[in-house]
Amino acid sequence: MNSFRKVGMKKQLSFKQQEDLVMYLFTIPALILFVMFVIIPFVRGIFLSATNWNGYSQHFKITGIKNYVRLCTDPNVLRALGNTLIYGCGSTLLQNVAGLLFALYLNKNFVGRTLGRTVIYLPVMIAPLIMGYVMYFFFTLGGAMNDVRAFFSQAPLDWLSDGKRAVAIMTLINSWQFAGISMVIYLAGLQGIPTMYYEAAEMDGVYGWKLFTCVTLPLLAPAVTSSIVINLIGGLKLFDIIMALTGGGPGYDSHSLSTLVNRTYFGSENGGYASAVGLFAFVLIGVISYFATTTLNRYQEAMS
Amino acid sequence: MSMVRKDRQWWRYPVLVLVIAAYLTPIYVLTGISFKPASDLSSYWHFPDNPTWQNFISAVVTGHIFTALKNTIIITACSVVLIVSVGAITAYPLARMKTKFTKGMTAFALIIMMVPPLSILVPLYATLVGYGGINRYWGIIVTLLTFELPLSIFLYANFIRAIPQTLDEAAHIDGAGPVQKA
Repeated sequence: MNSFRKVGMKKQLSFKQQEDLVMYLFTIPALILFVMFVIIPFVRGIFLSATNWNGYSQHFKITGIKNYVRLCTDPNVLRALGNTLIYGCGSTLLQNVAGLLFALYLNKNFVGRTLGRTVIYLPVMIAPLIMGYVMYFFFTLGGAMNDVRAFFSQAPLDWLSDGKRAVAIMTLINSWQFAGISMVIYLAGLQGIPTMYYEAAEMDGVYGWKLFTCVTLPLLAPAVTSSIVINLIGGLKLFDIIMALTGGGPGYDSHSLSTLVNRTYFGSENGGYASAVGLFAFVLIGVISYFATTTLNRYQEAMS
Repeated sequence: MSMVRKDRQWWRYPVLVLVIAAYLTPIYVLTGISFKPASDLSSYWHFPDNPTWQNFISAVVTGHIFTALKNTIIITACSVVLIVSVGAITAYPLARMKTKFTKGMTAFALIIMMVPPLSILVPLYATLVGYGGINRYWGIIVTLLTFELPLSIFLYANFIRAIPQTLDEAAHIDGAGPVQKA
């Protein structure tokens, strides 16, 4: 901030100061947006979370930490938290494994490679909400999956009636849909590895699994980092698929923190409590993701 | 060597068929359903015997799909232009300078990128009501812009870091001001 102070004192700015000033000016649009649409709502949220505001009324009372006490003892919040972690970590794991396998598989030159890449990337371009409704046709009582069961003369199953199974199904759908992103990241990473490393490995007689773990994987470290971070973020934010498939049900069994906030605000008209849950999610997910990212980055730097 | 490799390629084709099947089945089922009248209760796997356009007609007439499409196009076009341009402008100083301010802003952008926007849904909605941005295009565009901006900043910052700083210095010698350099 030095340069700002010096503007008044000196008419002529040195080149460095001039440049710094312009640099700071460049950040202003983003700064205004962040302040207006993140920081102000955040601060307002802290205030609202200490009230019993119902979402539209002009009249509300300040209730202090009552919402937070309720939050700590609410089993629905705890379950949503658990589900969010399952959605986040589960789909990160599945997407990365699947994406890496797809990338290794499609990295070699063969006919149909482009087709494979296109088809795997296709669902990424479809809105998750639409994908959720498509999947609804598979998992409803009269849906496509039950037709498969009927084909093997099994009784139809209500796939989404069990909370745990619904969570697993939605994690799978999310991973299936977004494995293409991981694949693209890993493909880019694989193409960045110079072939001379492989030639050297070939000379040393290194093949197969050992080649993969000793040469490919360490050189892919940056791709692994960005893929994990992007998928973790996507999984922890999961909202659309849940809304389309179960709406958080049965009961509150498959809510993520995002859908729970939505439900508490628009469904139960409990603005104060919803913003308390929201702030809790904001801080918690922010801390988890921030630590994950910085740890991964440090690990990656140590590796290279 | 190359001969041996070629011989081991055959397994790629069955795998390709499986992968394509896994990824196109939902689209096949969706297409089938979209051509079925609501009264057709046959299996979703079964493509309708006499396909009907009725569903598409009602999507246009009663579903107003073109209005939705128009909204989508307006919102997407505006926010993409803004995200790309504001992201580039912001990323330059964040990538080139190492001060407390830029470090803090980078960390803040990272956090925004990570937290679900819905976590501040309640106050954000209330704030937007205050700005008069509910049911307006600019309301959703600016909100989208804010929450997508960090990703754009990040991608740009990584690319800008890859441009050697010596190029900046060369431009300086050639008489380029800070704005031209960016």
